[in-house]
Amino acid sequence: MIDPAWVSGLAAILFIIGLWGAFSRKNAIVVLMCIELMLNAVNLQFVAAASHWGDVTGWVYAVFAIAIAAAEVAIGLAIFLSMYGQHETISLDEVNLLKN
Amino acid sequence: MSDKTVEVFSTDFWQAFAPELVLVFGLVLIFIIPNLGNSKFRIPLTKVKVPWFLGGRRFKLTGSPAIPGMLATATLFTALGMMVIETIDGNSSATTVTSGDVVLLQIDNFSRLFEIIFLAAVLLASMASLDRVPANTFAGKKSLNEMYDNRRQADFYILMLTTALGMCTVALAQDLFVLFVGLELASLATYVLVGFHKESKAGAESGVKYFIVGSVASGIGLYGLSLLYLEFGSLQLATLSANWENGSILGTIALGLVLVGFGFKVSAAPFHFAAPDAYAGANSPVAGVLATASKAMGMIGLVRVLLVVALPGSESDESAVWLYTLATLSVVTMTWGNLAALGSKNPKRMLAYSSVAHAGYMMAALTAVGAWKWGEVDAPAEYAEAIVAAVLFHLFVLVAFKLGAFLVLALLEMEGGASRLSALSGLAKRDPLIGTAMFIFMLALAGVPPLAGFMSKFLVVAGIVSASIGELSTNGSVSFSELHWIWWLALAMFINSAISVFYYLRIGVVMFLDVPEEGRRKPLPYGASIRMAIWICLVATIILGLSGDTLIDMCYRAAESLNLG
Amino acid sequence: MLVGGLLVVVAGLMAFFPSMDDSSSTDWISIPLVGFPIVVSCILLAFASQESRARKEILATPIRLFTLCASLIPLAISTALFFDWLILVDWDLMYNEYALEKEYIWIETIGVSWHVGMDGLSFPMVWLTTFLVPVTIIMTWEEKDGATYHPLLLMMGGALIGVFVALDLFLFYVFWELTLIPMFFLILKWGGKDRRYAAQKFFIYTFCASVIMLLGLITLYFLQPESSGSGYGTVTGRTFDMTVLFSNANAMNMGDNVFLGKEMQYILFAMLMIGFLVKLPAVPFHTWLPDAHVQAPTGGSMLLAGVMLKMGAYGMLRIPIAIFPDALIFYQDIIMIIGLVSLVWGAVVCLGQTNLKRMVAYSSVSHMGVILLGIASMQPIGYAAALFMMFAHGIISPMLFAVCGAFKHHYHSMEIGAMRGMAKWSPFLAVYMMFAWMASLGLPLLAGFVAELMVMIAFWPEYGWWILLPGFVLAITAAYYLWSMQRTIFEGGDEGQPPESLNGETPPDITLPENIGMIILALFTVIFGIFPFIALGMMDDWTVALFEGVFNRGGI
Repeated sequence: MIDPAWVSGLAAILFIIGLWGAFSRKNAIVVLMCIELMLNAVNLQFVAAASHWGDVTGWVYAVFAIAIAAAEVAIGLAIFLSMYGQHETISLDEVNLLKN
Repeated sequence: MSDKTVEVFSTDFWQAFAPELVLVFGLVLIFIIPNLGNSKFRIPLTKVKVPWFLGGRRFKLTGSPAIPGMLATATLFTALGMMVIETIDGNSSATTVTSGDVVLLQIDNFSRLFEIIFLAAVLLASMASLDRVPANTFAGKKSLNEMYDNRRQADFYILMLTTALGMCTVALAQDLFVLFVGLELASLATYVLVGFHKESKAGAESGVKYFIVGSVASGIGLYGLSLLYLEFGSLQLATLSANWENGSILGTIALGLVLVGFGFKVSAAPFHFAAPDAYAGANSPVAGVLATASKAMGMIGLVRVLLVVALPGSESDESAVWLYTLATLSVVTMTWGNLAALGSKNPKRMLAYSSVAHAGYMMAALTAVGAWKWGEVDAPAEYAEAIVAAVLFHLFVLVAFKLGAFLVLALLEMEGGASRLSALSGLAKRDPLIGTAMFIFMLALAGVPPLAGFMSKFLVVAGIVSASIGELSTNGSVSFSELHWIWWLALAMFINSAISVFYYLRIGVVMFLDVPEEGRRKPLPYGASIRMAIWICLVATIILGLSGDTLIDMCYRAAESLNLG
Repeated sequence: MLVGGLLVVVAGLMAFFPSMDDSSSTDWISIPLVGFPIVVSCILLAFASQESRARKEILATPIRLFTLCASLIPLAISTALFFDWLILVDWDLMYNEYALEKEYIWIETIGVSWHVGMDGLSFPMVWLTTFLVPVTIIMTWEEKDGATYHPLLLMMGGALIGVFVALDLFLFYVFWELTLIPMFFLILKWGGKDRRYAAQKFFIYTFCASVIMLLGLITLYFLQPESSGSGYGTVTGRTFDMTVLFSNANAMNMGDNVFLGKEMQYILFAMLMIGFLVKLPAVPFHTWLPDAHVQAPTGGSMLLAGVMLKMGAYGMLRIPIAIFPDALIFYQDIIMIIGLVSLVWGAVVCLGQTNLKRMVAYSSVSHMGVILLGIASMQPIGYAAALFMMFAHGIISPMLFAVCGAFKHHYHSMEIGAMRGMAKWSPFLAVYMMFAWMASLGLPLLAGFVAELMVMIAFWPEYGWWILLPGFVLAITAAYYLWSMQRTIFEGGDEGQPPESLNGETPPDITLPENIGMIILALFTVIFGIFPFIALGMMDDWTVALFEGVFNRGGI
């Protein structure tokens, strides 16, 4: 069995990649993917921690986190679609109507 | 009555959660009632058709687009009424919900007070939306916007109720993960509400910005939770706070990440950038909910994590680091918010920045509680409770005057946009009562006595000052250097509220002095329910300022039920 | 309608006081002096705002009349209280004793009560306010949009009285800020060309200063020893009650003991004084005053100069000086210097002004400097002089502003050049203007003289030959002014040309309401100049009580 520490490390790496991507990328879909990456890191972390503690709650948390991620994707895509309908672009750089 | 523990889904559980059940029931009704129709269901392999009532040709009565709004308002009103009746007489019993040995939810004065704040805000916003997103009959020729509004009535109120339900979960949660699930439920609904007017470019844009920043923040917060779980093996508030002293540096990092998630919700610096965009693009009642209820939801998170779970103990050096960080952030937040509001020409953005500033005030108060909690100030627990009570009072009265200001803007939006300061010009001449109401809301936001805004700011500052003095006063002679440095936070708060007077007064001046814009010369559109909502806010602003004793008592009981000591 | 309305009001008042003869249970302050004007004006404002423009024009006169009658009720009551017509009031009070004291619990949790009462310090100011409000209403009878203008004046009066009668720090602060709102609107809606700027500057300046004062008050509140009982907060264990605070402070200021310790006294004293000095205003915090005065309408200026500035001096004498005597001694020289600078600076800048109202505003700054000198003198006679200066200036400066307002009204100009030959066109106005300036510059037998003389007397033992500076400034400016005024007003019009601002029309003389208002003010200036003891007796008593109660102890 793999040591949970390795899984945690992987989760940390995934999270950092996701975070970095979410801040640096301009394409809304890619940003959404990065957010998903972060949420997947959360799932991994929960599962790893659950096996570290031998506690079933972590699994339950992971299932809930997956559900949250799914809802977030659904809503995110819908919002992006409406933005595309109005602005004809999904690049976050080109959407800057709102100012002081 | 005494405290009791109930198993989830037991009879006692249903009894205790009657108000929340009303919300769920109302939500289901809004799903079903607009869809009632004459469709029939054919039993497979036979020719027998049974009336099924869902779908088909909608019934004229239940299919009316006005139904969802009425239902939502009635539901919220019922739930709010039940809670107020239950709480106002000083019921001090707590009901804890467990599943096995896991504590999930707890009804006590603290959670009930927050639920009242949430439901009041959402109720006022949905009352206002009856006119702001108007429902028309299907008869006759409709403009495209009216058709859109008609089709989306049910969606809008379903989202409103979902937000309320999610917020209530946050208030009740005794497990950080449950809290986060509630937070997500409310957030996901608000993402859609912010981008609800997808036909406008601003609506779509603000939806995207709010969604991206919000989901990144909640992703970070969730990762923080998973680290906390890794460190302590549980996310129960009780377990966390008991084991906190033994935690390693990982726990501190995790806590920082969790705070990012909540910091976004209260729109504290440096996570406040999305708030002005979101408020400017959303329609005003929704923006009002974001500025009041959603902020209160974030404050619950901060209170639970910072004050209940607590930070490093008094002996550890790390407590000082946390305290300085929080104090710096609070000063930065309030100053940034006020300075940005000074330069803003859009009343909605201005209110958004002012709400950032208010977040700073509340963080300053939390710093003071922290200083007490971490043993830097020598004072009994009542001092800390007084500050928490002041924050609760502030959150409560914000619903009255901040939401009220947004509702006035919503009234202006009904005749066109309200995104320029000039939209307000001459308001006092066009409609003296609404203009005066708006001016009173502005004065309350600035903290001018005897309005509720003064009372709340006064209580917060008094709380901070009292904590900075602590028990020093008993020996008569005090040197200034003996006061704890959080006293300077009180000074920063007051200087900031003096700065804020500039932009609040500007709105008053524009309303009373300027000539109305072209096309805005006529009286304001009449909307019975939005005007009623504004009057409720106005009366509450004045009454709670003049005589807030009942509410202050409620807030104290709520703060006591946190068991800070 | 009017008579009916008044009857209803009087009946309501009577119902509120079922036992007129039982003086101990009758509240002569809360409702008749404070609540009644504010509530009546709120009702009138709500009433006026509902109507269309045409209806508003019709309503203006009845509302005006009603406001005037309503403002006469507090005047009648305060006058009657002075002459003991209603009940016997003992004005000879010890320190920290108040006549007609009343206390109702307001916010129990933090120890706020509606605590009102009057003594020799506050009663003259209260009477002055009740006196000035009807005079102002008469003076500005023809102001446009009277349906809202006059009720705002009434509300202003109620709030000002509230400041003077409050014996609770919280209540005091509430009224202190409440006075800003009607004045803000008076400047904003009826002001001159730059009213937007002036109104905001006025509000922001005083608000900024008073939040610092509030922080000082809150800190002071929590530094009090914790206790419980009636009036104490159920949660905080402290009270905002001034009388309790004064007696606590007084008890601890014994011998070498110092209430809160010296360092804390110095800091809190400074924080409170910032709020009061800005309101006063003293140089260097005075810049809001000329702007506010120049832009404010006549009525606003009259109340602003007449009573609102005195709030600063009143606050100083009421709170910081009474509880921080050691800090007062510490800051004595600084206060003296601020006062001297205000006096000299105000007088010198005044000389260079071409705008009449700005000139009057700077002369107010100068006179407020005299009050500070009186306070810094640390002599009973200096304090009595400061009190009398507050009172005298409260009659003279409204008269000056009334004259300015009438001048603006008829000559459509504020420039001093336009006054040339005024005596020929408007003899009444010219006489009043000359009289008001004489009074303001402290000519004998007029109210201002008494106060200035007393300050000079008090100044001598403390600062010796420094007295020459204020003395010369006062004398020289007085001489210069009267000479130049006399030249412009009485001699300038030989060419027979009316001023340019009138475009060739013949300038009219003042109207009847203006005449009535000015005569009343002039009359009282003379009365209090010849018989200063009418008011001075009470002030003397208060001063003696203050010195006995606060300053006469081992430490000083």
